[in-house]
Amino acid sequence: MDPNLYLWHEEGFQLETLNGEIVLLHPVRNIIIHGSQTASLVWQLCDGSRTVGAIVELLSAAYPESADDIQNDVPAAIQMLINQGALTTK
Amino acid sequence: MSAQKLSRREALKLLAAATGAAALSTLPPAWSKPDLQVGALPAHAQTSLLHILNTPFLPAEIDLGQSYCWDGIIIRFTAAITPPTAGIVLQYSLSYNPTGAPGAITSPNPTTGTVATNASGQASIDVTVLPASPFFGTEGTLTVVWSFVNPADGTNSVSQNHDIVVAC
Amino acid sequence: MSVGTSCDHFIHFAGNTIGVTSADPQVCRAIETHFRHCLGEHAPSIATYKITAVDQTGFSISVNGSDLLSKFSLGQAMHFLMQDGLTRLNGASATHLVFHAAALAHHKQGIILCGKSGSGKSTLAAWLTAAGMQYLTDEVISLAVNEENISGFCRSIVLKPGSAFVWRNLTAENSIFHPDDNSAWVSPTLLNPTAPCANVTPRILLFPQYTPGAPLRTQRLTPAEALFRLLQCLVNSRNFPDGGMSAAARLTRQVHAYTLEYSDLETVAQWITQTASKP
Repeated sequence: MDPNLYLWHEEGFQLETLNGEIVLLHPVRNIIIHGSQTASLVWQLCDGSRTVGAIVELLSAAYPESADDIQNDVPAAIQMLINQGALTTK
Repeated sequence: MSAQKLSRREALKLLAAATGAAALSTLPPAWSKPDLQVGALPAHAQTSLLHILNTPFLPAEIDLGQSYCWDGIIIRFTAAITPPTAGIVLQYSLSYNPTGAPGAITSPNPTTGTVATNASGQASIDVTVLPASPFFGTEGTLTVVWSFVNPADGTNSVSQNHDIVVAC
Repeated sequence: MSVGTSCDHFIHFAGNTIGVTSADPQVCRAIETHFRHCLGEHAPSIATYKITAVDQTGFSISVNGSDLLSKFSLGQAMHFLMQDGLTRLNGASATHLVFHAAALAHHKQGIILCGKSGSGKSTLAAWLTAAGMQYLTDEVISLAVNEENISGFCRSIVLKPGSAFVWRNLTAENSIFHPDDNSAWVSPTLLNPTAPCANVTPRILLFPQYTPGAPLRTQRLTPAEALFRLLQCLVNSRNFPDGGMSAAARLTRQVHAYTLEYSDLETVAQWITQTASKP
């Protein structure tokens, strides 16, 4: 994944945050997504103000013991959210 | 992001600000692989009862400008299910019982088959009955029996008759 | 209301009403038994059904004045009424969220069994009712958008062919009905005379799955996991501007939620009773 990519939340989703986890509902497209706490962090950081690379860097600094995993986990989660239409690169 | 490496504390503060976390303690204490699950809403107004098959429409003669004596008469049968659901596969079984001059079903061939319901929960089949002789016509009863292919969709069957008179 | 051999009834659920009229005593008796706890006062109806005996074995049905051409048996006519009527009630409500779920009450604690067809909701509901719990529904619950309590479509329990609940040993004239699909409609009062319950505050939300031969396995869910699964049982989401999300989330915040995999009714019923009894 291009580390210079910016990502935005796709429109039309209803969001609930419960104990740090997220549930997204798009009633028209008929899709429901549940994200764990770390998936929720990734989702929330994709607000158009940071590149993929910046998100990886921020999370790696917050959780340095898992920096290697974060390098792979974050782009994979972002790709999944793009595939489900929850994130867009515009 | 600046070229200088962020300290952990600075990173957590930025994270809390970006995610609206009330305090650093509400952030996950450790990293775990992000888990994402995807699901879908059920069909609108869905119940768990099986569908019911019925025949709300009378059989209709389809006139394509053909000669009934030489090309046959075409009858359309339509079945419907409640609640109306697309994609439910129905089986049809056809038979023609002449009471006068003979004739036979020429289409569809074979006389049993399947058809899926449309968005209105309806499925139709056009049946051609051809007189054995174009000079004598045919008279008899055309019957269709509809049933569900998958018992999980429904279990009842319905039949419909149509009296045919082709005078030649 | 029954007058002589004819009847004129109103079935209520989730803020809406359907009307049913018949002059046939068999039809009237079936409605008054198997929809008894859904009946109420006259109200404007979203659909009106008229079931008429055509001859000794056949019935015709009209819906909102339009006749269906098929001739139905009594079983098919009642099945149609249940299926079509409930579909309309489920789909019409814009004031109540409607979930595909069974619900019971144990010492005023509401237990929701959420799941699609085949998960064993009706069988579990029958078992728990026979074990002494109060019965709200085996099919759909409603939750008003700004309220805490749930209500149920309190029809007879519909046990499909293959259900593990042994209803065949029960005998009571008119309390068990057999429509033509080989299912059995069992009046809840046959299992437990004090069973019917109008509404309850939900405390336990369960997602049961019957798996032959499986040992009992339970897993506690986070509120978000529960909401994710609960939304997959919400049958009238499109009637709400937010898809019903905020009201459903409120429900998951007030309950303890679990997945359940089971094969033995007695074991799972024991677990449910114990869990519901915890403070």
